[in-house]
Amino acid sequence: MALWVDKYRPKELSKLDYHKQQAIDLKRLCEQQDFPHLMFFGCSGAGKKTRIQCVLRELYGPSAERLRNETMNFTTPSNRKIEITTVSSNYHIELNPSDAGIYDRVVITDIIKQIAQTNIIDTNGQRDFKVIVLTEVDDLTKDAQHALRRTMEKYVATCRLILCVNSTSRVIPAIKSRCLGIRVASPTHEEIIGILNQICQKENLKLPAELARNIASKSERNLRRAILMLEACKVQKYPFTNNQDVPEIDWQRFLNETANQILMEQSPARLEKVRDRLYELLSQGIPPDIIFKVLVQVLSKKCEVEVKSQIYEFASLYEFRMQMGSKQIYHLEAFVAHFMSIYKKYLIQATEMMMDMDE
Amino acid sequence: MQFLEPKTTEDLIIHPKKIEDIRKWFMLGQQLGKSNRILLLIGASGSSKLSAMKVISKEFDFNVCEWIFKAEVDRELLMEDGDRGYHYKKQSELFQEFLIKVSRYNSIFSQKERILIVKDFPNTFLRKGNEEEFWTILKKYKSIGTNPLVFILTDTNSKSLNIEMNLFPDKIRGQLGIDTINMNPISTTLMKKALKQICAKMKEHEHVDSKFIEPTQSIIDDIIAQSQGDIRNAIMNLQLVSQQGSIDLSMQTKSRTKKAGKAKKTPTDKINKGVGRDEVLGIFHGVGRALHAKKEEDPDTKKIKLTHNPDSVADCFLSQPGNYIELLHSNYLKTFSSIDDVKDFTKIMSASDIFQTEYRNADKLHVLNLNLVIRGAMVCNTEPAKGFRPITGYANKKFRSVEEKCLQEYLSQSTEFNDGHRMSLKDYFVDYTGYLKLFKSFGAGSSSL
Repeated sequence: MALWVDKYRPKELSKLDYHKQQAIDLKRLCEQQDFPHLMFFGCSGAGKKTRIQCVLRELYGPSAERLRNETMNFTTPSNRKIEITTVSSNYHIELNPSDAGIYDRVVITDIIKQIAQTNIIDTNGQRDFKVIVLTEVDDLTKDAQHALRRTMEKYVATCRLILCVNSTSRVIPAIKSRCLGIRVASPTHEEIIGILNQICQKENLKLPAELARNIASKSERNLRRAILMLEACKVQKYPFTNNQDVPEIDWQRFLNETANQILMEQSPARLEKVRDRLYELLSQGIPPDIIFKVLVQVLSKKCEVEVKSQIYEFASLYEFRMQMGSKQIYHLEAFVAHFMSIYKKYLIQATEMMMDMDE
Repeated sequence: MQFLEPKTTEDLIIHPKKIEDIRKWFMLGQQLGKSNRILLLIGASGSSKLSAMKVISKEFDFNVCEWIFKAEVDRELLMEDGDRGYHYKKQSELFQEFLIKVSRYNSIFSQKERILIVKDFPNTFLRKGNEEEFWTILKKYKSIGTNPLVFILTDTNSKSLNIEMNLFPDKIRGQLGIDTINMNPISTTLMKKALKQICAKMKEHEHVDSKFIEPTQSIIDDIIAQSQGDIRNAIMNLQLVSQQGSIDLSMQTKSRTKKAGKAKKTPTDKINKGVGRDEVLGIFHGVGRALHAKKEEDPDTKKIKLTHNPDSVADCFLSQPGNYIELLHSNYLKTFSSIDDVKDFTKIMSASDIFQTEYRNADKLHVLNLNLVIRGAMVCNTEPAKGFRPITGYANKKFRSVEEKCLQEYLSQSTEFNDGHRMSLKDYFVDYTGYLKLFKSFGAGSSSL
């Protein structure tokens, strides 16, 4: 029961659907003897992981696809035990060190040491290094990033790192300069439409152009989401119709409702209800930055330009603080409170203006 | 203190009903002919647990035998054990010896029956994992002991020190037939009565303390309020005050007591530094004080002033600023009525999170941060909401289970998709879960599922 997203994921560099020139460059890079550390960056759903897997295959052949899951144990200096699940083949290991929370530094140093201390003995003599794939490196603490920088230099003879990040802004410059950065831009709407059509062809479905465009624009150039949407549409109703509704997933609906609640009433009691809803979203694993983004988008639509500028000012302030701090809810809440206060004033002003006009 | 120790049940200032309860326990033991009964006496410190026990045992003609642990005495006793230097007997062994020997062999001086009282628990039993040992001793005692045994426990807030929970779980209580009597902190009226009696007594016996000056009623009221139901503390303060008897103090207290009547439910004023123990605020209490900040107008300068000093509130929570701030955050919205005030306060909360996250210089910074938050809560709320708004627990508590469930689900499913590659937490929750639910809800008839 593979999902389409997984089923139609390209496995080789030559089969990638977009950024073809980049694919060719990557391929050449793999053919060279001198393989650098890589850092893939780009929005989610742009295809970073797909490219990483293709690169691994290019380096080691199909055997890099034979994967096993392992749980690794680490012990912090304070004797706390941490478990991290990893995915590995004979040639590479893939893990998300930020799973360890504030102890990510231990994971970074330990794992790289463990992997890098043993040389690869390959009969074919294909490659003399192993690859460590680290995901969500931008979520690492500064401490861990510095540890990463040191170990990167030390073990360069036996291993290479492939980092996967959403935004390079939170990666320290020392790491950035040690990696070859590869930007994976989100696919354009046309590219998404093209891919959706391809999938439908393979599945023997007929996809109306209108629906394809609709899905592409709703996916916010996130290819994974687009394909999931397509499959959801298919499950919901087939044959497709031109103006078929693209189903919204529950957290999106929930968040939109929350925004509407904020617009309906501005009071501490309402804020408390909104906070509960935000807690619920957070506890279901929706990242706070996405919540923040959607809220700002929906809320600012309802305002005039002058008010908008104020809202963006506070949004940027609290979004920044949210990245700095540890309790996201405080900052989300602060933004909502500020919005409520501003919006309330704006509404009162607007009604006064109306009254003046009537007179 | 000692001079004033109660001698008869009439002197005891605990509620008559409780005295009756303890008496009943004694009588029941005599009626049943069972002498080795065990009782748990639980109460706040200074609620005269031990005194009550002593007085009532006397009434029933028991000799009181208290367990006292003294490390030095034991060392001397055990010196003889020694070529290999000191040999310490284990505390638990000593304890067992005490229980069994004392109850077996009567004192040579009196033929009265004895009652054993254990107040200071041997430390070893408080450690985790040693409960079993304690229980076996208790069971042994139950089978061979001959005298009644009373354990006196003080209420504590901390979980690790909660003897009642750890050492006397319901199972053991049922097995050994342990009875429990809870003592309440002493009520204000009883305390008032007692202090009056004491004053009278002190006057009668002037030879005991020639410097005794009877304090004014207002001071006594103050002492009672501050002792928070702790009679020992109250008597000690009384002694102190009656010796000073300074006019200054009484003046100061006078102006305070006017408010004391009004603020009966809310805590005592804590300006009178002369008497009273350092105020210990429960966390709920402290949050309440910040959220329902009382303000008063200074008669001289006409400026609005806070009744409670934010510093002193902050002082109570230095050890756990994080918890305090979180509880405050969970509850503040109920007490605000204007969204503009909320806006100001959230600004502070947001800044406080940044401070709280900073780990360098944490000890100093977190104290300042706590202060900032408390002051913020007190000042920002210009139009407090009316009516009774109880503080409920942490707001995010009810979502913890959801969070855990989601995480479990993620861990078990994260490798099922994505060709065996692990997908990140974000991707899983943002994209996959929602659509998976959709697929399921649209029916299983689909070909792809």
